[in-house]
Amino acid sequence: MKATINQIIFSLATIAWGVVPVYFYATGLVGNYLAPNFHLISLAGGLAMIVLGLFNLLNARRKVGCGHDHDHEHDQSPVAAIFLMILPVALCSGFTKHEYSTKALTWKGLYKQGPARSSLFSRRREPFTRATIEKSTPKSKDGNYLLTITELYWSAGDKEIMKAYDRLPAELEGRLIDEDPKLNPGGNRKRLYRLFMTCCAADAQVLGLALEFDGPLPDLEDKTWVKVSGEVAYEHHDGQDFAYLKVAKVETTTAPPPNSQFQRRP
Amino acid sequence: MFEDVFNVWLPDFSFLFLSILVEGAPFILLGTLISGFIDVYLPASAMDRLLPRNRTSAVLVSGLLGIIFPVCECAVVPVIRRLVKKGLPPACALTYMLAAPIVNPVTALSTASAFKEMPAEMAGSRLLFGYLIAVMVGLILLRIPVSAVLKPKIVSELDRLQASRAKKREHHTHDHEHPHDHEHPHDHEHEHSHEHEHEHEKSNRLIMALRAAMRDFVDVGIYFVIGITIVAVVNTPPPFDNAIPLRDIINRTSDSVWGAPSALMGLAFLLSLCSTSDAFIAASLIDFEPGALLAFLVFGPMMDVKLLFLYSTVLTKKFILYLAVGLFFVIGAISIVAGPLLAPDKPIPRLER
Repeated sequence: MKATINQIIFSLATIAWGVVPVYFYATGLVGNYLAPNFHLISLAGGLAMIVLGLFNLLNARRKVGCGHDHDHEHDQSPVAAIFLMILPVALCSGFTKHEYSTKALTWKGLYKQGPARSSLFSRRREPFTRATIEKSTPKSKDGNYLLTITELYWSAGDKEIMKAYDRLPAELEGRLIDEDPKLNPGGNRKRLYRLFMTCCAADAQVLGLALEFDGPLPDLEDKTWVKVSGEVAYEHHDGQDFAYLKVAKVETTTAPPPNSQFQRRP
Repeated sequence: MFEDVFNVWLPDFSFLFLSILVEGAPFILLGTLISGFIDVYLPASAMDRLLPRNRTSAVLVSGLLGIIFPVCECAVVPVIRRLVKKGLPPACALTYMLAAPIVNPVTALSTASAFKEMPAEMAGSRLLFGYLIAVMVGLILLRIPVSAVLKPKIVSELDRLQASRAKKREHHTHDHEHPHDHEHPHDHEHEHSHEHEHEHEKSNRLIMALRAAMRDFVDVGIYFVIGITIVAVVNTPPPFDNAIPLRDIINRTSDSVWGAPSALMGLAFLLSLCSTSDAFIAASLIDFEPGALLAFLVFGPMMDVKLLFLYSTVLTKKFILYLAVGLFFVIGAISIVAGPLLAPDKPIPRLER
């Protein structure tokens, strides 16, 4: 009887773990948690956990082996399974907002600038010029280059790359957030950001880019998805180069689909 | 303060916790499914035939098994736990456990693609040092009593297994003729006096395999939760102000010969990344020299917070401590020596999009 109860609790714990990735996948939230190459692995794993749990649940009372139940071998405590498997997952599923708070985004580098990454722009160490951008970057209907935050973020610091991007008409997509007051003495700036994820949200890097407005700041809620177009510019302060965009137009947009949310092209 | 905990800290913690859970749990499941099927379908005697009889050669071969059976560090623990119970010598099992997450084609490919400017150097040195260190640990383990390495429960199960196999050998040598194969198809952790393979139906064996898999999944899952809870706590901004982000502290060590590899091994320990994709994180640490990055890439898959708890399902706490300290110093020293040889005039490797 005890073995059967343990079997039922373990099955429920396994199912509980399986439901989370399947739910995330079905609702599209998986893109907030995992990099695209992990989406299908996570779904397959979740489904397999549910199947394994259900199979064992349905066979919980069945005697197998040498005429007796083998589950008394070395069972983990069912209490541990409840408190360390079912409860944490249930609580975290309740508490999560499926994204980082502004505080966590700041902690992960929202207002910081990393050093330039020249190798991102030229694999063969060829000179990087405006013609290179012309060849590899699509344009919008308005003639703006469809750039990504990652490109501009990692261009700052490399003089050759900065020269190629400087004053380029560009369109970017990302989420809008208030600028750090220390970086916004004129009060005419907002910030555009996206997450750059390798495996899961735990390793995500926040890449932010300042947006400078001529007129009034757009009256949009923090973390609204927007498309902004304008002209690329660079500035130098605190011993570092920073890319920013002189905004001509900003419009709200929908969040990109889960499998492209953290990819370089919107 | 308390409002911050509930409205900001807990949602961020939960987001991090679930992201690591949904990433890692499928790999744990894979490992426990393999372990469940090993339990039921792999005869204990198979382990004797799998590896060379010479113990040193067996350890050397075990370090390469990841090429044939590529598993990441989350999946490998339940597998080796079951293999040890099946009679695989602990020295071989631990060599496989430490080497497999690094010495496998998936990790080699991901490392090479993350470090586009020096793929062969980084992937090659990672695999080479991962293998050498795992084999070194295995060879040391050959000289250490099993009871100092494995948990008492597993040692007593091994003792029972050996006694039962000795008894069986004696029985077959001296007793009557046998009309059928008496070898039990699965290894139970308690004594059985009735070993009749033919009495099990196929469906029963499948149920037993999946029960064993689920039992292992729960067993390992509980420790995994403890591990990822710590990882999530460390990576969640604390609810008080003026805390310095971990990455800023780590970056300050980038110019220090000892500090850089130590800090990156500490980071690998805390981040608990999967070995199949940690190279992309390493490549993003562009302030650091290749030697320190190598320390990150070799130490992480062998020892991190979640592994600490997963290892404790098999190994004694004392041995885990010795292993962690030993790996830290050996890998640190190797990275300092090998770093300059790795890329004397080359720029720091960078992430390729």
